[in-house]
This record gives sequence, C-alpha cells and structure tokens, in this order.
Amino acid sequence: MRGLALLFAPAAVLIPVALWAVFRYVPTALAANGQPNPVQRIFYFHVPSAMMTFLSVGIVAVAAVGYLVTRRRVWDRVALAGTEVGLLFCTIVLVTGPIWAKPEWGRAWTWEPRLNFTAVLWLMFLGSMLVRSFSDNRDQAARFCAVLSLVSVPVVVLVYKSVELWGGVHPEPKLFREPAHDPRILTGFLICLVAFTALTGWLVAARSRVARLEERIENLLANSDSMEPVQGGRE
Amino acid sequence: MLTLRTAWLIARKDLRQELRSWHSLATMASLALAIQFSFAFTLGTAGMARLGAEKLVPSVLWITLVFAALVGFRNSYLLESERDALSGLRMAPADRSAIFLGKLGANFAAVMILEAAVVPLAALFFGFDLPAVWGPLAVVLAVHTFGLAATGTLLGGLVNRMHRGESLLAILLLPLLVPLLISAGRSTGAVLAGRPLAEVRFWIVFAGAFGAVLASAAVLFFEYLLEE
Repeated sequence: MRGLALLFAPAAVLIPVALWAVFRYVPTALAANGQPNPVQRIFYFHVPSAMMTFLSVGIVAVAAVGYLVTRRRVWDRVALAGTEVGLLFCTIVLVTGPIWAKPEWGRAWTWEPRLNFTAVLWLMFLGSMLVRSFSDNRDQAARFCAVLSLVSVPVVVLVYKSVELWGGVHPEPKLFREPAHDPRILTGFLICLVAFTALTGWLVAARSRVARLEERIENLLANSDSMEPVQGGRE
Repeated sequence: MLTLRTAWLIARKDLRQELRSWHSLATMASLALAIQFSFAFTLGTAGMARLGAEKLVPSVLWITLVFAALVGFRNSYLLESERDALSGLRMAPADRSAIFLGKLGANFAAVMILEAAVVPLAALFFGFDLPAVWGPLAVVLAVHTFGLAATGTLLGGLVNRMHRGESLLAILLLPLLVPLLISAGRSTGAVLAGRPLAEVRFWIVFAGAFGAVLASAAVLFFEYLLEE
C-alpha cells in the first residue's frame, strides 16, 4: 500500500506541472502559414502517450515471459495491467492525433504509416483483452494472453516496417532533428515525458494491485460456496 | 525427426479426413464464391471497370481467401473435438509442436486447394489473363498462404481451447495479418500487371520471413495452448 502511495506522489505532482508547462510555459507554435497554432500543444501529450504505449508493450512482453517461466500470478497481473494501460495510452494517441491533423492536414484520418501502426496496435491490445474475458479460467487466460503477446511482438516489428513501405507522410520528429528554435519546447516535452512515465508506473502498479484484490475476492467466494452460509453474516 | 514424422502423419490424417468428406473445403469454397459475388455486386460493373483487374483483384482475392480460410482454421481443430481426440494426440510420445506442424501442413494444403478453385474463378469474374501470369502468381500465392496458414493454425488452436472463443478468431487474426496483407496486395497487384517475379522479390522474402517468424513462434509456444 505504501509502495503504491510512493508511486502516486510523483505522478500527482508532475501531471499538474506538465499541464502548466503545456499551456503556460511552452511558446505557441507557428503554423506553415505563419499564424499561431495553439493546436500544436496537443503534441506534448500525443508523443509521450505514444511512447507510453510502446513502454506498455515492453511491460506486457516482459511479464508474459515472466509468467510462462515462473508461473507466478504476479506476472500475469502485471501483464493485465500493462495491456489495459497500453490500450488507454494507445486510445489517447488515436484521439489526439486526428484532433491535431484536422486543422493541420485538413483531414482527421490520413492513412499515414504511424497512424496505421497505432491503429493495428490498438486492435492487438483489444484482442488480448478479449481473450482474457473469453477465457474459461484464470490460468488459461494468463497462458493464452502470454502466448498471444509473445507472438505479437515480432509481428509488431513487421507491422511497423510494412506500414512504412505501404506509404504516407508523417511530420518527422523535428524536436530532435533540428535544434529547437526555443529551448522551452524541449524542456516542456521532457517534463511531459517524465510526468507520463510516472503516471504509467503508478497506473500499472495500481491496476496490478486491484487485480490481486479481485483474485482474493474470487478465491474467498469460491471457498465460501462450499461452506454453509453463516447465520447473520454480512452480505 | 520424430516430430516431423508425427507432423506428417497428422497432416496426412487431416487431409485424408477432409478429402473423404469435403466438409471444410466445400464450406470454404462456397463462402469464397459468395464473397466474390458480394464484391462484384457492391462494386457494380462500372466500379469494376474503372478500377481494372490489377487494382481490384488483389483486395478481392485476399479478403476472400482470408475469410474463407478462417472457416478451415476453425474446422481443423473441430476434427479433434469428437470423443476428445485432442487428448489422445496430446498423449502421443512426440513433441507437442508436431500437432501444430501437422495441422499447419494440412491447413496449408487445404488453402492451396481452395486457391486452385478461387483464382480461376476470380480470373473469370474480374477479367485477368490467368494463363499469362500463373507462374509468378502461384509463387506469390504459395508464400503468402504459408504465412496465412501459420497464423491461422496457431490462433485456431488458441480459440479452440476456449469454450466461447470461436467468435474471436477473426478479430485476433486480422491485426496479426496486416504485414502479410500489405505484402500480398503489393505483390499480387504487380504480378497481375505482368511484372516479372524478380520485381516483387522483396515482398516474397518479406512474406516468407513473416511465415517463418509465425511458424517458429508457434512451434515454441504451442504446448502452452495445449495444457489442461
């Protein structure tokens, strides 16, 4: 419980700081036509969310190996948490991207490689959650989701390569390419990245703990079924 | 060696069972026919003429094949559901991956048989010159069918073990097939346009690598799907 609070503290401090940085600290970007483009600010959440999606893929893959090797429940709970958190950040990427693209490119959905890649990733996270909910029991869900994640990891690499070849345009991450015009852009971005990483750590830990409590309740209910109902017992 | 021999026996058993009953292949072929008709009706003759065979056929062909093959991947494990024959297979003194490899062989053969019927029909319906392109087309089809069968055989095994899992097969399969579909669309389009096979060598290698990755992953992990 204390560990969870320790993880919560940095996220609780850094997310408001990140919001402040995005809206007050970083300069307003200019669009191609020289007009101020406040929508650009969405990128300070969009890009870190994409990075957190990839981090979640990594967490799920490590947890899958951990589960298949050790068969300890804790690994499966981390995999479950990583999948749900990954789906969350992936959704944020897919929502914020079109909001940015609509004024910038004139179209919300452009069939652009990284957008396609994110959409496929989103479907994979969803598939994993469906397998979990359709499974017959906890162990089967754990094993099947682990296998599915580990099979998906090399495919994700191939998806990335293939959607790139499939064709399209995406703004190259200029942030690192050409030295930013204003150092506040990079600072603001790094603040957001650290804040999102802290948030991810806390979310995964919190969801894993909720999963453990759910399992305990399930176990208690399973055991109480075989016993006589307690007189006057609480509901 | 024993693994491969066992796999061969399982593949032969599955195929013999299929070629005696034609249950799976008949369903797959009828579905493929119905899907091709549906494409034609939704496109209309004007739409088909405007797109032209080489733009139209790669999509129509691969969507048709994937969805018709789905039926086969599902049925492939239903063969074992009667009297719990899968438990018998599991107890066979051979590596569990032999079951996957056997099913993969049978599924690959079944989809290739399906293609032998579907591709000439596509040539007939959508108007491309099959005799002129059949050689390169056969290579493209075979390589991509292997990747399709490897993915489908693995996921078919996964959903088959869940009581209510069958409806999940399509949604699990399609995202994993994205690289293969991109490659299939590109290379099929190119060979239909009369390009030589050398021009699509990259996609052939890409699809081959996809199949190899999926098949190796399945060999590694298949036993986890068979645990009780």
